[in-house]
Amino acid sequence: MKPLQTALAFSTALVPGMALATPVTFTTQMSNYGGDGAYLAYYVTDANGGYVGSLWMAGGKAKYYQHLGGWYAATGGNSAQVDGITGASVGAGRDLTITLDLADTLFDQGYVLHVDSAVEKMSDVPNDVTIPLTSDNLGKPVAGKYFVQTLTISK
Amino acid sequence: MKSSLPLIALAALLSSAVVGALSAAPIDSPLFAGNTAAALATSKVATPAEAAAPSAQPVQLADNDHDDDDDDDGFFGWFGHHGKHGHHGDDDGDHGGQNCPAGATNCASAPQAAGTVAPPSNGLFAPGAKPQVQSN
Repeated sequence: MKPLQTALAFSTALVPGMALATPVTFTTQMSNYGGDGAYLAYYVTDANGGYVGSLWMAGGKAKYYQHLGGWYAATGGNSAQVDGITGASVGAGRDLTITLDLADTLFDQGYVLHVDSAVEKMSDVPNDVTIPLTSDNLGKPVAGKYFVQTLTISK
Repeated sequence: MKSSLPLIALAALLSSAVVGALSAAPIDSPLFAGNTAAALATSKVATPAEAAAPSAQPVQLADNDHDDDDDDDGFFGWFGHHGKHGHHGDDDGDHGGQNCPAGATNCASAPQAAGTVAPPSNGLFAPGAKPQVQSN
């Protein structure tokens, strides 16, 4: 009997924790800006505008991160902030789909997703896209300013 | 007045001899924009035997700025800081953090790629979950 109780207690403790995370998909459609691959930094700020953490970095050379102005100002360019969440830069006209297991508490709590972008021989665009992380915004494409055409968050 | 004539004649003779010798001397190596000063400092008049012998130095047709012409100039060149070309090798190896801005934190090390280590413990990710990414 005791082993069963132990197993039940263990599984009960695990289930709430697992229920707190949900796969969230970020689909970014790049505009046809006619340049080379874009570096993109995805990061989250809280209701006060304070940096909470990074969600994704498109582009693997840390020396170029200074051109992602908002992210760089928040992190000091610390590449450890994007360890394990870094992929290739994204070409013009391409789309990037990222699926992350994120805490449910990220939504409807005043958090905001920011995407900074930069492209060689072109421009640095801090906050190319900003989206408040609310349930209402799920599934709705949000237009970017320059390199990002649209960004859609879905669960 | 007559006493100055020999001096003038001597000066004219000397100057014509020097100019003639210089114009007849061969030039032993070309000068390049990148090392003009050094070449001038070390230039000498070659003997006919030296001029006829093949040079041990390779002929340098390009600049001499030791630029390896890879993508080190990167964003700096793209955005007009100091580069001179603009190709972007997409996510090839970092070059030891060159061009790190002053005060940058951990700039010299490239971040770990997705899938190789767990996402950072910043409270946003479920523990142990690895991101999935697709680009089309």
